[in-house]
Amino acid sequence: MTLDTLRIGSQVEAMAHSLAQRQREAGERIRRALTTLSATHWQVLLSKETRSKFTGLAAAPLEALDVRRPAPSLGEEYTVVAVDGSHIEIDRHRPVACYLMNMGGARLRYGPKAEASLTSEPRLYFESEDLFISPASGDPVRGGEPLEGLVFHARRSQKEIEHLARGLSEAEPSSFTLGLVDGSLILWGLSGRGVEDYVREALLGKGYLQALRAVERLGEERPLAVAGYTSFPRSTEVVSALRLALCPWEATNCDRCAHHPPTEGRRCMDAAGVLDRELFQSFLAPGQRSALFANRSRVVTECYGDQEVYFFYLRGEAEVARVEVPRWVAEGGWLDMVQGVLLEQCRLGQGYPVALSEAHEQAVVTGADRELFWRIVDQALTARDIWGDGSQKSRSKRTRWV
Amino acid sequence: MGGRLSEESQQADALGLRPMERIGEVIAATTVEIQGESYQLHNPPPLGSLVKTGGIYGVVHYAATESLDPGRPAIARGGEEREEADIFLHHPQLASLFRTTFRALAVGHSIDGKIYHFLPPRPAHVHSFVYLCSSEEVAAFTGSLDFLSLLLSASVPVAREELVAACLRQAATAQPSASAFLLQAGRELATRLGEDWASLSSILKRLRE
Repeated sequence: MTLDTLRIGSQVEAMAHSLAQRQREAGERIRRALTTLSATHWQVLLSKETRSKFTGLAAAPLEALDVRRPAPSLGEEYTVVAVDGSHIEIDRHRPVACYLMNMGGARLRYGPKAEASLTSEPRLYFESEDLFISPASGDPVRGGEPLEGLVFHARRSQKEIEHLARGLSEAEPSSFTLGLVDGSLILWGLSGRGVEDYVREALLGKGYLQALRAVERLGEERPLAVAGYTSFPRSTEVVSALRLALCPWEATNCDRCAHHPPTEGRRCMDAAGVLDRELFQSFLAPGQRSALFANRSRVVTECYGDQEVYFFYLRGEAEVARVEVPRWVAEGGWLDMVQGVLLEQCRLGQGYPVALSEAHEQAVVTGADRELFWRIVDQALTARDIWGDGSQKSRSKRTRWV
Repeated sequence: MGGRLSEESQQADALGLRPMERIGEVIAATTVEIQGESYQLHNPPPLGSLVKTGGIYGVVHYAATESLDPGRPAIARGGEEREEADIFLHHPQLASLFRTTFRALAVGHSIDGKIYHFLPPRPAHVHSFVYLCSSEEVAAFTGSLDFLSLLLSASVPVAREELVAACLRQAATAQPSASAFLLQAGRELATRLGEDWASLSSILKRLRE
């Protein structure tokens, strides 16, 4: 039976009605958040953050909260290297455990020697070390952590940043080069307590962060920066910091506060429900970037070390994006270049960085590609008589009947 | 294109002749048609020119430059640019996102150096290199005008008068005497078109201009 769209229609209507109501209420909350942004001294806030026990994730400001940095002028000659990945995940209903990652890359050089290189590199993974992350000591009984779910996505991010590091090393070194990844530089999936230390070490310490360090070393020899670009971000780290500032307690302790109803009476709720992008959409003019903040997530504070993640918001013509950089990019004085290149990339790309958009086009694996991939795998296995039917569930989905 | 061909080009240029030039490769083929992709964007073989691939001769009847991905049509980008060339300079990826293709009618083939002016026994191979024929080869192939019947009877996207005239104009440049060649071609067309005076005069008009 297909989806009953008639029955969905009325539910969608109800949702739209509710959202419109919420949006009207949000206007007032955004105004309060804006007032707090201008009224709060960043060092006072930073000091309060260190003394508080706040349940949310609050950004640590690194300069005055109400800073607006104008669009810098951009030289004619620069290069953007972007990478994006896509994958065909392990299908546990298939008789073979394997997955495919396709790395799309775009290297766009601007200026008098303009040129472009668009690449797509698919790779199949099937060896046991590709399917499991094992502890260094080895555990033959448990076999290690299977590459599934969040761990799989962290591995893909690792492969992307490694691909980017290679791409950057091949870029022409004389003019500024910006390396770009789609989304965050923070492997959020590894922050949970359920993730074993050896898994974090394999994916982050010896993987993602090692690649970022390689980029940093490359940056010592040539003008270079790397950034993660998140379109339409849903993060609330800055707003959380403002809520902390609004809290009347000298040192916030949300656990203690929870025992004192009513909820709506709490001052911190004045700015609740506002997204950082909504705040900066009202605060920044097109082309401007916000103040710089440090991310204080558990995974970053405990694991990232010298690759600590800083971020700012950037208002382009079309939307407010979140831009994350490793600390060394900010300390190297590259933020103006990052801002300038990203604004120009968005202008050239109809609102979204054109290099990321082209990298995505190179990486994308369609439904038809997926089917073709499994057909090729099936044929290769059948030809060598190493074939089984896979699960009956899988067979049932592929062969439908009445 | 390799250095050897460049050298050949230079020698041929010195003689005032067009050399054999590798311009693309076959991406699809049937008994009657060769479909090729040009190595250079916006640079297909000219309409009516003679191309060769794997011993099969074709007359180019159509070319197109399009987005590689049918789902990503081109959009106008030059509103803020001063020159057309600036568009490709400021969007360097564009050259990689489009391709130029061409189609050629099979009009003959050669076996062991002997030229036959009728359809080849088998279609061209996919990924065979496609060459723009040298002046010498054009002169050799158009030594007989028997291939005109294939051009006149073909179902192609352009008017057959356009195609035949373009082909003969191209071929004339490779002959020792262009006017003698066109005179002979005119007689041949008069015979083959019979009482179709409209077509004949349309072609002859295009040959004179």
